Amino acid sequence: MKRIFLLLLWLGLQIFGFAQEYGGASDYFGSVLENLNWDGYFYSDDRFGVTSPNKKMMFQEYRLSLKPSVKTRRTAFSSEIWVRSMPGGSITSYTQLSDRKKTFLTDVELREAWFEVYDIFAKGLDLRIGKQRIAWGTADRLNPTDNINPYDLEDIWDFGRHLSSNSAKLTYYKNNFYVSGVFVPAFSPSAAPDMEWMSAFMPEFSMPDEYDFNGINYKLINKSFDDFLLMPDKTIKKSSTMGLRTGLNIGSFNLSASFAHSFDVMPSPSKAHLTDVERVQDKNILSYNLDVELKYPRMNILGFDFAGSLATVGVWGEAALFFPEIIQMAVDMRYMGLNIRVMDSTVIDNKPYLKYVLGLDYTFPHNIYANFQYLHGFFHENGTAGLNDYFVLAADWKVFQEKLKISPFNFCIQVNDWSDLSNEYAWILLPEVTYQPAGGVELTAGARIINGTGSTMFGKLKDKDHVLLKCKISF
Amino acid sequence: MKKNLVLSSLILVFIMIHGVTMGQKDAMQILQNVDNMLNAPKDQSLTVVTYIVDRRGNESTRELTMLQKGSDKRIVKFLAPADQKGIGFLSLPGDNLTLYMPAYRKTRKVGGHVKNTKFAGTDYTYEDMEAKRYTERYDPELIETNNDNWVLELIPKDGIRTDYTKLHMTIRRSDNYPVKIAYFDKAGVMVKTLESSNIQKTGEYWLARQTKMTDLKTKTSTKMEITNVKFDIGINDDVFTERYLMR
Repeated sequence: MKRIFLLLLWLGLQIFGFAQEYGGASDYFGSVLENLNWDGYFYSDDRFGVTSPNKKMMFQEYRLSLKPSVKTRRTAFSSEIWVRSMPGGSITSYTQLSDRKKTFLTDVELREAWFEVYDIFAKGLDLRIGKQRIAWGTADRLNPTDNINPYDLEDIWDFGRHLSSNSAKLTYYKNNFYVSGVFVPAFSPSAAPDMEWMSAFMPEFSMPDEYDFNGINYKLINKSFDDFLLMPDKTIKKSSTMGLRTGLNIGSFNLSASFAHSFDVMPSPSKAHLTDVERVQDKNILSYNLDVELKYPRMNILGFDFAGSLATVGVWGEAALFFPEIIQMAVDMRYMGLNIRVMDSTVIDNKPYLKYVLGLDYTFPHNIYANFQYLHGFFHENGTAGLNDYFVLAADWKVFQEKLKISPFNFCIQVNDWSDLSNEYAWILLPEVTYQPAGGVELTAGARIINGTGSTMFGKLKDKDHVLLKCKISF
Repeated sequence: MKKNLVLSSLILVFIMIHGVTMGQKDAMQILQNVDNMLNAPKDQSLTVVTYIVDRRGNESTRELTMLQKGSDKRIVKFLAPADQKGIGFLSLPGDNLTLYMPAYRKTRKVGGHVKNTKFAGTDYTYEDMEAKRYTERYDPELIETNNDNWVLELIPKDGIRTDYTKLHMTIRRSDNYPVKIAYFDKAGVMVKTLESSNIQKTGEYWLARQTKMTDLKTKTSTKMEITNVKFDIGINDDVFTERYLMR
């Protein structure tokens, strides 16, 4: 606490120092106000399901983003506020119609708010403090090394979207070299998608379907399921995330290496409680309620990434070596008159595993752009055996001075098991057309067509084909 | 007689070779003068408004700020429209191009393929927007001289990556300013022209306040108008870094 106070005091003195450079506090804050910018955009996103049983409005978001920011010679402030209107649907009685919180679901969210001081201790040293997005990695939206901020999976089609974290970042630059340290004192979890889409990311585990007790074999039947999410203790040691990244430019290449002491994106089951165990109609059947405890495994992650140009082709790659905390699930059967029994079910092994992505892009004649990436290990996958392969192509053709962008062949292919391809695959086709009728106005129409087997992440969503209409007006 | 004929022939060949060499030397000297004139300021800060005109005559605008030091360091940032504000690129020697996309909060080295694509929907390519010295990229030949102008044909030197097979540069004799450049594609067809106008002396330096790039294939054009310019303001080398690009 004393250290935090001293840090705040010292920062105050720094700001006072800058104020003196501007000829006093009033001049400094006058300069700040003079440089205040208000940018933002309005964004609407409507999606309609086209496949039974989901022929309905699947997603709707109307978002106003406000971005007040200030830049002075040695300081910067930046922020983003989302004001959103989302569909409700929680009204169950006539009297609730008078409750505006239920009739109009409006959500105000501070996405980012940070303050940065340049050349703070020494020339080339920048300190940024606040709620900030720390984006690591060079690949296009699929970044295995980007593990400081939690993911924002509210919209699973907005690949790579993260939440910001209350954190401090100190970066030292020298010529084309930099080293950056990041500290996030408190853990915050990734935001999950709507329940309809959650199935794609739900951690899987299996319970025994029979049990031998006093020489009798009982069949076990689950009556209900509930989960308890255990957050890390709020101590700095158990709750914080920290990272170090260094990089440099060599010729036409960016290279960087990183280390992060962070958490897994999704929680893993660590304990299962069987409660309300009852014998069913004098048969050798036991029914039970299942309560599962979930926790966020710790991860140490070594990362490396590069981006550059080979001949005229843009190339990039990222690799992240994960050293996970071992998670073994215990099944608590005390309600059956037994003590805790640790089942032989290692949910996450402590063996390191490697996720990586390789990508290239090229612009063909007539303004046709193609971007291809191969990803091994989606953000929520873990363990060597749990990593799957993804092939992603984004291609567009810009015409009429880039006012019209046609992207008919955007696709993603998922392969879980190359030796059983017919049962372990999924694909998504994401055609889109974007038109800019005026500067700062963008209208997009498109579709997402999903197919695959039920064992794959995207295959679980195969009955959720939809068309979409988006509008974005920037100001 | 035979001796005289041989001697005369040798003299003629000498004059012809010398003449060609002198012609090339003159062309190189002219191009050198162009480079010296364009890159005379130690550094410069420009605010530029671009007007993009489509084939129907509809106009859209962009505003950008550009800082340049010497002949080979340039940083460009968009100020408007709102959806492009903050996008920037850094051009350094050795075909070294870095792009910053604020939406992703990242910089990235971009492949050479980007150089020949249109710059933010304008008729300029990234290559056109790069800081450069023509003498380092092209071999010149003087192809036309008249009272007002020289016309040089510029052929890319070996190892230079460009989509243009040649340029025809019209240079005003009075001040060495390139008033027009015609760009030719691989088929030898003229595909674009760049015209400079409103050429004024600002302080010690000549500057075209307006340039117009016309795409002859798409029949579109982009006019760039310099609304604010400052020369020799002592721009630090630190500005031409990814650190500054992200600010």
